Amino acid sequence: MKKLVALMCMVMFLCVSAAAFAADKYEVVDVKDGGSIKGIVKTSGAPADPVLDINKDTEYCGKSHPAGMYVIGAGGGVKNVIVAVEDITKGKAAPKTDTVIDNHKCAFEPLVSIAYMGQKYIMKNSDPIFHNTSIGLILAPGKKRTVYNLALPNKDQTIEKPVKVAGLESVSCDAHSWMRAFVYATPNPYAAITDDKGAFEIKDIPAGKYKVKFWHEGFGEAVVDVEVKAGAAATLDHTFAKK
Amino acid sequence: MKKILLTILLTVVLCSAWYLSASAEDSQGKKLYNGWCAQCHGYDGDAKSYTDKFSVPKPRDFTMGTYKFRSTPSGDPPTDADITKIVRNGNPGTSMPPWTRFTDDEVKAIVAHVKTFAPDIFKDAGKPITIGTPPKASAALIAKGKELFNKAKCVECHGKAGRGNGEKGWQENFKNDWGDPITPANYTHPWELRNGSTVEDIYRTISVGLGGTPMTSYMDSLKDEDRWALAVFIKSLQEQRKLGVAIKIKKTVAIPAKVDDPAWDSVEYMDLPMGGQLMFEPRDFTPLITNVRVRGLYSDKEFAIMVEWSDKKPNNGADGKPADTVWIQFPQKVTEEAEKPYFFMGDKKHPVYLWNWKASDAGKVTEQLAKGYDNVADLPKQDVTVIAGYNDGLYRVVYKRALKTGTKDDFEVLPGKFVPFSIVAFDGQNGESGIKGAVSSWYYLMLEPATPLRVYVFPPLVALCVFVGGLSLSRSLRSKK
Ligand code: HEC
Ligand code: HEC
Repeated sequence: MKKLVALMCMVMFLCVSAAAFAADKYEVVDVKDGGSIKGIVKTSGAPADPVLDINKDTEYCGKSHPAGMYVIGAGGGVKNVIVAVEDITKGKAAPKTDTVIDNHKCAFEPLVSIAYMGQKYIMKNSDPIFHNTSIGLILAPGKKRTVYNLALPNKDQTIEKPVKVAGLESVSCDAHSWMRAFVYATPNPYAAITDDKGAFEIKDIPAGKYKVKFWHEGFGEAVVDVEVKAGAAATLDHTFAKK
Repeated sequence: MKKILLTILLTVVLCSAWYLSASAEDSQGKKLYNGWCAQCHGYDGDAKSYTDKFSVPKPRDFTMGTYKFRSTPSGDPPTDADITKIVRNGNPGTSMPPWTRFTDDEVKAIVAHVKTFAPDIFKDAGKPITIGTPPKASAALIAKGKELFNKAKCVECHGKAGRGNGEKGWQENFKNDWGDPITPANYTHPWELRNGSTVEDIYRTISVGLGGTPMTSYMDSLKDEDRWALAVFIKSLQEQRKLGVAIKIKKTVAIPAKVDDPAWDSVEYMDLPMGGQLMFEPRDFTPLITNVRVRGLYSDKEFAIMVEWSDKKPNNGADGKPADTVWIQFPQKVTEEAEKPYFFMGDKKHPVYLWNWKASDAGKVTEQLAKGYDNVADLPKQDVTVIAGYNDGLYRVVYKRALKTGTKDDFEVLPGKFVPFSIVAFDGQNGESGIKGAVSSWYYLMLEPATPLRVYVFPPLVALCVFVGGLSLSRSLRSKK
């Protein structure tokens, strides 16, 4: 009997983990009368923006560079926060937009972006020096799973690759350790990046209860519950505590 | 309601069927894995094991889903054949052994089990790239490869002569996916190349990269023929080890006064494979110096021995790391009929001389007498001089001494006589100092008489010493060869 219970538990566990895997499965449906989530991400106090110490290719790259990590608008709005409806399994189709990652003036442009599964990464080198673009799924602090690592030895070289792995990914260049960027790869269209004022808006969400994730390079992560009502805008402001 | 119940029932039945079939299939692979692989790679494939401290690189954490050795493009998982290959052949220069004990079916089962640690990456099978026939090597092709080596900026990581000393390799986040620091490969040491050292292997490395490392994929940025030219060029940089037990030292009019004197390049040399010092605490389980090359010259009055080795990052003691260091050991009493080999740093009955050179005081050498690893004293009279240099990833240290010093108890070097010696070398970047370093076994040097003997008679005990001395090191050396 004990064995049977153990087996049942095992089966349950396996079924649950199988379900967890299916989380990046996404079903495209017609969304009529969807609701939206809008809000402002603020901070009660940000540290000074760090200055990057540049020690390779300094003739071209210069000696230092503002990190652009803490870009705080009037009223404490935080720029470059990724806002994503995490547990959504059904909704409208993701846009057919590709994601450009440009190596420009020894920094990645843009710093934070959204990539849509099935579309493309367009990796580009606008500099006359060697860069490589290494995209990796972030697994834990300091640990990643390489998604692509491609050389861009020459100016104006461009490489296109399909977006195949969902999740929060880091972008780095092994030749220049200060270079970094972040991409949120998603099968759905329900993610946004905050603007200069810290504002965001995500539209056409089927009515329901969701978990929304806020992620910022410096402030970290927060997950907040929200209920979206048909045809209405839910307000979801978030404040990152002082760092 | 009925519908829901039915769905639940169906799910449970399907899940248990899947579970049962999976467990029946996996059991052999899992059993073999747990028996032979888990002590390094961890029972859960997460590399949580006691060996991770003693292994550089660390055993692979399979749960993270990054595979370094692939025949598939960047972004694709390895094929079963890729995993099988590394299991069968092992990984040169690491603790990953070659596995020949298993049947093909057993390996298949093990590979299937290894894949279960990161099932999501194997959702879609990877497609291997096509590796055609390598072009014939020619001077023109090598020259083209060399040009590309600079143009594609390989040189920035791998260094001019390909010794892994390029400046880009020395940055704070030069790490792999697992969060461990990494260094560019040294092409001149083919035995250190983990992804293989044939032209095809190198072509594959350049094309698809090494997963999870800064070694990036050039498939989309370099044409096929360019990647072949690069592979041929890199192959041409590989050095073959000249192994032996004794090195003959030829007579010359004047010993060169500089380490980079071209005269040295035509002098016959011998390679000494190095292994970690494992006899006394602190032991060196993870040495980085895998080879030391020796050669020598003598004149009427003096003899000189050059010790040469690759070091990707020189340390002179000023950067908080220990200074790079090298010693030659000689037995205090040079007798061809040695009773027994002189082990690391000698003992009370069999003291050894150490000619101790440190990069922190590069113009100087200290002669010491060691009667064991914990009993070392500087000698009152110093008879040895040294010149040293570091250039493009290569250290050269030339020791010079009179054939006969006149100092009491000092050994004399006579043409035609064999003198035992061994080398101990320390890489400061790797945190090596004291007695934690790389050691060679015992070898012999002999000044070649001006009128060369037709046959060199190896004293029988000399051969024996080499054999026995070699045994004590073989454990660590075997994996390096
Ligand atoms: C003595 C420790 C040790 C044992 C035992 C061992 N391995 Fe390894 N293995 C390693 C190390 C260390 C590496 C990493 C090499 C590297 O990073 O270059 C490795 C790498 C691998 C890789 C390469 C993965 C990749 O990234 O491409 C595979 C596959 C592998 N081992 C499978 C096995 C299997 C299967 C067994 C048992 C039959 C086994 N290993 C036993 C130490 C070990
Ligand atoms: C951004 C730095 C970087 C650049 C640029 C680079 N490499 Fe590498 N390369 C590495 C690192 C790091 C390793 C070692 C990885 C390891 O030990 O696992 C390596 C390893 C290798 C290896 C040895 C693989 C093995 O079997 O162990 C070869 C061959 C190689 N690189 C060729 C090249 C060529 C050719 C180029 C230029 C087309 C190049 N590399 C450009 C960083 C670089």
